[in-house]
Amino acid sequence: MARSSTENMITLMSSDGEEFMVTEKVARECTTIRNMLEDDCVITNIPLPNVTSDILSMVIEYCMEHVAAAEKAAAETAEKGSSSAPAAAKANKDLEEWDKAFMNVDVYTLCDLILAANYLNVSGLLDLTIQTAANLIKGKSPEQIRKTFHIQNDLSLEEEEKIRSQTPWAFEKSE
Amino acid sequence: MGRAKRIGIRSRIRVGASSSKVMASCSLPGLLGPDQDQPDLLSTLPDELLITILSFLSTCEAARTSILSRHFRHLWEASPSVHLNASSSDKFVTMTDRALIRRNSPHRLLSLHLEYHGDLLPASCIPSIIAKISSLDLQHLTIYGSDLAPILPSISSIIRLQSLSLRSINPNCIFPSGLTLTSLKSLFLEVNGVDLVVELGRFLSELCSIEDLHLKTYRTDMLNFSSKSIRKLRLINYGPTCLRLDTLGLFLPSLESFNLEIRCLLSSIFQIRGEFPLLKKAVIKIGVVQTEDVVTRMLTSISHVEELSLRVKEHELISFNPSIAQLRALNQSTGSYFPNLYTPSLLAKARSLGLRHLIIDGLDIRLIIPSIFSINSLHSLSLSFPVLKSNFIFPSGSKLTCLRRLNLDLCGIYPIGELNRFISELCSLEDLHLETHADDTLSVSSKSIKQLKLIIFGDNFKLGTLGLFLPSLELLHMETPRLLSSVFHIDGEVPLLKRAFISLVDVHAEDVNAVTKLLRFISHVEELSLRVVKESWNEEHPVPILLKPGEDVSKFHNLKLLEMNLFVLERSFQAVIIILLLSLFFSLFVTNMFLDQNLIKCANI
Repeated sequence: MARSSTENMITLMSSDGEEFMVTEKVARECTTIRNMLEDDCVITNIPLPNVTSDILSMVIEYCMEHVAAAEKAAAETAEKGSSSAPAAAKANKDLEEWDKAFMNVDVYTLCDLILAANYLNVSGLLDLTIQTAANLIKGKSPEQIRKTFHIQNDLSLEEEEKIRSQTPWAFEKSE
Repeated sequence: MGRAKRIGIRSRIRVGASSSKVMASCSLPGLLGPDQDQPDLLSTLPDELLITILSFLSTCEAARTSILSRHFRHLWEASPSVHLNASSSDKFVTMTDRALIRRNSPHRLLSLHLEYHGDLLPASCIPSIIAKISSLDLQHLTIYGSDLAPILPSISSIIRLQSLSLRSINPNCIFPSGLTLTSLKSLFLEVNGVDLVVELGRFLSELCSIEDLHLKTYRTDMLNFSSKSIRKLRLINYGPTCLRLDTLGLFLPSLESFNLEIRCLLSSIFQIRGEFPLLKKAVIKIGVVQTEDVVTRMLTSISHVEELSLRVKEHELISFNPSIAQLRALNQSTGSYFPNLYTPSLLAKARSLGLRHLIIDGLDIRLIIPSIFSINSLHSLSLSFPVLKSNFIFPSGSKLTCLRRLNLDLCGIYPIGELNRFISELCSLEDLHLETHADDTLSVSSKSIKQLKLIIFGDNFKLGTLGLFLPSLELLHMETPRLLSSVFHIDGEVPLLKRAFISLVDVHAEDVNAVTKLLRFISHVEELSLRVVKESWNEEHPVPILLKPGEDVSKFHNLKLLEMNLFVLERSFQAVIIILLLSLFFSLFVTNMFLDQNLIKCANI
């Protein structure tokens, strides 16, 4: 704890060459970067060739918000000895709302974020983006799903009928 | 440098995303043309990520993706989670056959959820389900069915199981040995049988790693179990109130959190036996008791907790079970009333325990109000008052120095000034939820309140003056039916207000001035949500324009988010509302250059 509290700054470089200065604590939210830092503790400049600057800035925004929320909760616990349940519940709800607003993006940004979260191994963001993608599929007909994600249907009518007949329960109207 | 660059990029993305969202959520024809050649990014994701996405869906929905394209055809079968829910036995049999029994994927199945609501399953399908379940290396298993007796014994063979949920366990069930389930940490059981108490106790004591137990029992007069590892216990007894519970024996040396909910009658000899030296938090919800000593005894047995919540919800029980009403009548005929839980002696006990959260609902508490307000350890308090009289006097609030959250549901005519005096005495209050009838005047003043939820109800009142003297207020939630008077006046100051939710019912043209005054008062907010509920607008009462373009709208200098919901049931007036929304939408864009996020939602039109 004492080692990382000195606010070391780390520079992350996106695929298109933009540089982002973040605190070590924020960078450590990405397990991939945390592992690099643990292997080589003097490293301060990390190139991330798989992430564009637009997406990287969003990943950093997510990590900063979650680090800030965790710090705030820890400070409150330290102040009062124990955290009060309603306050903690409210803080959680606020963060959930923030996440929800953060996920107000188009499907392309969403797919890029899934890839980036997977590559950088930010488990919270990966869960959030995957859940958001699943919610976009939930309750939709196959045609609506194709439209949402611009999926080209390369199955012939006969093939489609054959697949439908294998799992007829999946295509019933009810439920 | 880096910071400035980052913020620049961020705002660019957000603006782009939000403006396209405005278009999409209005979904008016012509505003958004369909784009033809958009690439399919989803299918370019690695299969393992796609499979993870599908694992968040029920198996029915995941299987539906098999016809999206050739790429998706077999992906769903690799999902580490199978979640089946059926209400007819035919469907259940075909689904389990395809998705579970004939599953032939190199990917491991981690989570299985079987839910079946219907007649008895055909006996022929059960052995194959059991065989398959036993052969799997599951971590999470949930079975909700009408009869678990045939499946229950096979569970002991799933040795890697970490969490298990079972509903409903009937008297004919036999618990398997728990000795093999060495990884099981979390268990939910819904048990119906009376005779299972001993069996259940044996099963629980055999589970060596269990930390989290959620137990729902129906008919039982005593319950005994022990475990060295349980840290969190949620125990719900939902038996009918004609049954009584005498003993609860819990020998749980590691217990930290205890959540107890008892709906049936606690007999006069009821007691909790056992030991929980590490208990930190207890939430107790009880229904009907025969004597108050029962509660005192119960509180004494957990007297070392750090945090205690106590809740009594009597009226819910009365509607839940008619036998309560009979019992009440019986008590009245013998001259005694229900034992009042909140006697001064009990509250003195609660005070010495350092009670943090108190919720009382449905009891006549007028006589013990002074005792409640002397529990100075309270952090949150929720009270629903019976009908108050005009001579009601609120006690002093100055002792409640820790109180942060207050929820008051007030009914009847009472001196409004008294209420305001009481609220202003609560020096730490941050969150106030107030439901009240309104007199002509309603005033709330407090230096510390940050959040206020104000629900004003009643048919005969018209609110003349609303006073909000709240220098720290950040969030205002106000719901009112049509009771703003034509001479409505709003007074006070809310300089730090950031977000406001205003919900109005039945706004007519003559109310617009009152609404305008209200909106002007809060015009420095950053986020405004305005909801108007109306059954129908007709030609005599056309849709009033609540925000006049160019005039009032431009006063919202800080506004970042505007959400308007108009709930109308008659479809024929759709057009009017859309015109209203569009004029609003454009006026916001044109007249106010500070807006960067205009989210206008038309809901349920």
